[in-house]
Amino acid sequence: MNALARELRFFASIVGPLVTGQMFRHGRWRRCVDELYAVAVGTVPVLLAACAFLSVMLVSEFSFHMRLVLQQDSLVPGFSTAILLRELGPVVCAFLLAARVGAGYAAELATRKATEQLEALEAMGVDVGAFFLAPRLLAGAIGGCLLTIVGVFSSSAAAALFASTIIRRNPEDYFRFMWWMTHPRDLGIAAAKGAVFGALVVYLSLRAGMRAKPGSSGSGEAATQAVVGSSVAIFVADFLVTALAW
Amino acid sequence: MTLVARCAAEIRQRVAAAARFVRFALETVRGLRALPRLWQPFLDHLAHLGARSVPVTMMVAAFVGGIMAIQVELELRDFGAVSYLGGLSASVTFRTVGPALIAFLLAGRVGAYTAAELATMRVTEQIDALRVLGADPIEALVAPRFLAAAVASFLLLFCGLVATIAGGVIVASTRLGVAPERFLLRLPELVTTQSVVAGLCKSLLFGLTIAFVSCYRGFYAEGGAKGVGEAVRVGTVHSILSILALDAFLASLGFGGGR
Repeated sequence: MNALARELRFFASIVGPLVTGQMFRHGRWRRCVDELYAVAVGTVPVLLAACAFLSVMLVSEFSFHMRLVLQQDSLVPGFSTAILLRELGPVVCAFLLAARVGAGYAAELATRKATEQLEALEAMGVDVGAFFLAPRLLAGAIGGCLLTIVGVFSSSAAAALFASTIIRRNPEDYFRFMWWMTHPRDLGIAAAKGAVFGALVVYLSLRAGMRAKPGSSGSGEAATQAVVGSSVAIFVADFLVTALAW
Repeated sequence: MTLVARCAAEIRQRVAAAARFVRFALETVRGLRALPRLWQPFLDHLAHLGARSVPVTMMVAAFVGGIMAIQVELELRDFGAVSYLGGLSASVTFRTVGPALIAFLLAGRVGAYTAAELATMRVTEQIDALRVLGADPIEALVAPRFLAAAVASFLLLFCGLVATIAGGVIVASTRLGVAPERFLLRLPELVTTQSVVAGLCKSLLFGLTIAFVSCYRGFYAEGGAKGVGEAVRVGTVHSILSILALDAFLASLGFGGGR
């Protein structure tokens, strides 16, 4: 019962300032912009590298499967773009967010907690939820959504470029056929998946940071908990969203 | 400092980091020779890393199988080729999507725990203390953990790949209206021995990658308590990128008949 009450209290402290609009008062929205910069811009170089690798793997493997079933690989652009947009793009972005941003948030909050910085803020009358937690949650959701869109488009562009060497298909031809199996709705669902995964990763990471044991070991444990919890949650949420959306 | 001097310093730093990486790899491989003496710690780490991750890995893998069944059905529906659903989704999951996605999960579980454990030992000076006592920390601490993380990752990936088929069957029969026998109909035709071997080889390589990257990042952590979090963060990001890079490299080589 105590655990449930504690869980609800934490949920209210992080979501409450967003619902009541408290987070947007006194120029606090600027913190959200700063966090969004840290979440999204900082992750872009890693994401672009991951997308390039992902596109090579997808084109090559889908070529194998198309030849296995249809004895030709002309449908590779459509199939690989569809699986990238509906599945792999949002999931890879979410894992990179969990590893890069989630672990960082958890370790930072755990350190602040261990050095009593959060208690000092509360003593000064600052609402920690509105000041520290809610802007990060919002930044996680917006950042997850934007990164997923960037990831999907850059992977598709990289796939078109690599396709010329892997399946002897010129980029122009690849671009022409890549969208024919997908609908604009799929892009909306991919963006929604990105937002859900981003919010989930940040929520679980902040939770791990706030629950860290005091002392020097708390920071590392919180970072580990954040990565472990987020990676499981991403798959469960992915299954639920996929089952509901299609 | 001039631009040239800054570039030179940066290059020197990169070369030193690369040399340290190679030295660590060689010392870890050399440390594995002492394994007959370190059998017990290896088994303890294997039980700790592997046993606790089995239920979660199986559950997540079943979700991956279910997700892939939904996605592949979506693509096959327009062609009236739903009879290929089981074979194609199992083949895509087994040799392409499954090993990579389950390896991401394991980078977060096995990799993060290993990196955090070694990093905590580094920042609390336990590794330095071992060196002062005349023991080789790579042999005593890294080698058993490296092998345990690699073996645990491989076994978990193998169990996970089997669970993906189960997840696919369950979702296909309950949600997509495809009976299990129809789902499994073309499985032997499309999931070839070559694909199974490719999936297992990828699992082994991904397991070794996770083990190596997490041990390296944990062993060279610095900066006190903050360094432990940093080791987990950098270790997980580098594991995910290494898995994707290795996957792309194998695919471009035509590994498992991919080209």
